[in-house]
Amino acid sequence: MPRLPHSSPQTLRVFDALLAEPATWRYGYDLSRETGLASGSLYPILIRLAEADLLETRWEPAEVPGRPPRHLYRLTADGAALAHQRRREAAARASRPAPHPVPRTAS
Amino acid sequence: MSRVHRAGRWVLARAAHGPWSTAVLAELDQVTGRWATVRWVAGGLRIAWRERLGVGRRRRVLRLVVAAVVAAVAVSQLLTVRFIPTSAMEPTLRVADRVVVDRLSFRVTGLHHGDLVVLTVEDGTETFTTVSRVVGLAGDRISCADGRVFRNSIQLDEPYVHGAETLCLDATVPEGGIYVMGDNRALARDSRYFGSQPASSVSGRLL
Repeated sequence: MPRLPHSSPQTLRVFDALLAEPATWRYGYDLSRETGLASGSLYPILIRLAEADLLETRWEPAEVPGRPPRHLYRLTADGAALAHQRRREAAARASRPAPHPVPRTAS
Repeated sequence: MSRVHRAGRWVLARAAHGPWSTAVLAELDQVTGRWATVRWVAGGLRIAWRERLGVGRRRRVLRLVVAAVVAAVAVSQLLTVRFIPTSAMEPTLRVADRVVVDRLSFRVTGLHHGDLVVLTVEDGTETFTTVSRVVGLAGDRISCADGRVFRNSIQLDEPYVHGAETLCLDATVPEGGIYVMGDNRALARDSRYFGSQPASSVSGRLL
């Protein structure tokens, strides 16, 4: 079965972190801390999302001269929609009924 | 700032090659702790590698590495270098000669008279691996007279024994069997002692 794009558990963790405050621009390091993903796992996910136009990026001018500008991330509208969809799918998978589901009666 | 931090920054700054690795580098200031720093830098190097090579070239490099490993394993399976700790094949092979054994082609082409083979012999309770020459194949009748070997009553021309005399009892090689003799007829322990062996006991042919 071909895997859905952007549906790995790691990507879902990134979605969770980004959806916590969808309007806020986030730092890579903070995302790394919140998701528990190391830079080598987190950034490839961010790159994939950005290449699919699901994530927007911008550079924050350095507050202190001499410090490098930091990169910021935020889900696009498409990205947020997909993130919600993937979260719902994951939740459905997690609560998938047993092979013989108990018939539900209307109440 | 610790030494680890400075070293990590230096390494990553040299490797950084695009927006993403630069972004990882810019976050390094936030990272605290020695191992966290090392991990962060290692991840950044991975990103830098990605950006440097591009997806297409990265795939090509990976494919090349995989192909090289597969080829190395295949060759080591098909061709092995063996050490001959026996005088059974003197003078063709000296004691302690190293030979290259082809483990595949005889399975395709079959064995022929005169082939040098590596075979594992089960003689009673004893099992040993030796190198010998195929003298008889299934159905051949092997006999000796006047120190010479005959196959189906035809005398063999055996320049490789350098005139050594051969003594043997008459034998007929059964179906699926081979009859082997070492070139050193005076000393070799071969089918004259342990009889015909199943062709399946052959593990390779000398190149």
